[in-house]
Amino acid sequence: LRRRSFLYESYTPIFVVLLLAGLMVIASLRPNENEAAVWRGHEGPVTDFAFSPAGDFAVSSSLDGTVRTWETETGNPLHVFAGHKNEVFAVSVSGNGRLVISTDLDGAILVHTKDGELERRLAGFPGWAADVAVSPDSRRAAAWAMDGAIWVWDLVSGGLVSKFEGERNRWGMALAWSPDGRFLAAGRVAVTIWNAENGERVKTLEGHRDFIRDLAFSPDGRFLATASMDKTVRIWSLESDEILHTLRPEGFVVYTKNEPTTNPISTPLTCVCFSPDGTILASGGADRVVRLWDAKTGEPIRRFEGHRMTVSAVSFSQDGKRLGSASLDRTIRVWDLDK
Amino acid sequence: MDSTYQPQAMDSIHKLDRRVRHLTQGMGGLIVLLAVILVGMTALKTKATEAQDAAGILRVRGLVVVDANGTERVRIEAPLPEPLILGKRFPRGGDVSGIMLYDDEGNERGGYVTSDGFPNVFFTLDSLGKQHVLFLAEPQGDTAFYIWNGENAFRLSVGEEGVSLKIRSDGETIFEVPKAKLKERGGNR
Repeated sequence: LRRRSFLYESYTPIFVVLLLAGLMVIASLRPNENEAAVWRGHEGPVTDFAFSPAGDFAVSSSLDGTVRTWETETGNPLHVFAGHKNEVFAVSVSGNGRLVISTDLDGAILVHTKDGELERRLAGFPGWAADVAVSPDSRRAAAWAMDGAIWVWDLVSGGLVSKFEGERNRWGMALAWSPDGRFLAAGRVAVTIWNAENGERVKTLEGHRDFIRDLAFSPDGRFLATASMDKTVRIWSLESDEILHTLRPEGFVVYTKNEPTTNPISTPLTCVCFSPDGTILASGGADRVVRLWDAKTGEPIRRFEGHRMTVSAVSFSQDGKRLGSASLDRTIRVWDLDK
Repeated sequence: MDSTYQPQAMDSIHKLDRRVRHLTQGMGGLIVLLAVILVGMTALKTKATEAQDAAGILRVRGLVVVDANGTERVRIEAPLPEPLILGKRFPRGGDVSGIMLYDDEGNERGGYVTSDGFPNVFFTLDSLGKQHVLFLAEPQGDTAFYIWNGENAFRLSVGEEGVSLKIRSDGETIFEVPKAKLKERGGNR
């Protein structure tokens, strides 16, 4: 008995340690709600990201001077487009998923096929464009020049179709076509809605107090969301031209030795996007957090942490089950929204 | 010695004598050549050292300091590049040269620069995309100090026409002595 008791006593600490280790292993194997697939490959900050309309691939651009395509399911790299000679700021996929259009610091706006073949260079652009937008019918591309004009090209011929004359030397960073292709929204501090056919100014939406970094139409075209350096996201009704919701995310995540701490301050916001069914709005910014909002009520739904630097772009997959976010930390994270 | 070997011996002696003479001449030439090379190299080295000492500086258009991640943190350049803010570049509106500081994401956060054209000198501290502290000296002697955040601002200007102090809070001027006489000349952005 004494011997047995001795055995129990001497082995008890080992049992406890093994039990704790086992529990830790089990806990680490449990899926983390905020766990994301991390796509790596860019050697510089990632500036833009989008899933293709059909959802079979995704594109990203970077200050490393490249555009990359990725296989959506696996995150495996598909192609590296090396046609740019300088920092690439924005990338878009045509509605038919065939073309990838990107813009860089040299003012080069390049049209590649999704397989990486350079199809054409949209020429004559003064300065550089911070964004490039492709019409839903895949026929036109638009970019905002430093002289204040918005240039619209025919993607079939490569020719300049029209120039929407904005305020001279007033340059903006955000462009988006309406889902029906009739309007083009351009964001500086105010949003100007242009008639995409005749270049007439339709309306101006005022409310932000600083540069708009990104804007997105809701899938039904009735709402517009804007992300601004003024630290707010706004949801606008395009029927009443009113601001329906002003979202003020708070909480700046700082990583010290891989441990995140959240500071209760607001930071500029850089990106916004509606889910395919229009019910959810995703946003990101310098706070390094990806947030989901109820697009109807403006209430926060979820937040995803993991990026170590500013979130530069967000994009929903076609089925709305995944959200991709790009960051200046050189990664793309793809969040599973079903988890 | 056998007399039949005498001419051959003499011939060998002459041959040896000639070879010794040639070798002596060759050695002399070689010594002279080595001396010339040595003197030349010494002269060149001295000249290079003198040039380095005279300049004592690197003549470059730019110098970039990067952190462990490869992010640019400090730039000394003429002119400096357009400001990078959260992954996109903004047009500065004019060339500036000097020292610029960047945060760990590469955002421009302040600098000590002179501008081309109207040659002001600036010292600025910036948030993400905005100046908030500015020291400014204009070439004719007017100087200013500004701190501001949105609708709240403090401005102190000194010039030939006097001193001006202005404080604004929530967009309202709450203190001003005297009424600003100086032309407002802001930053280059």
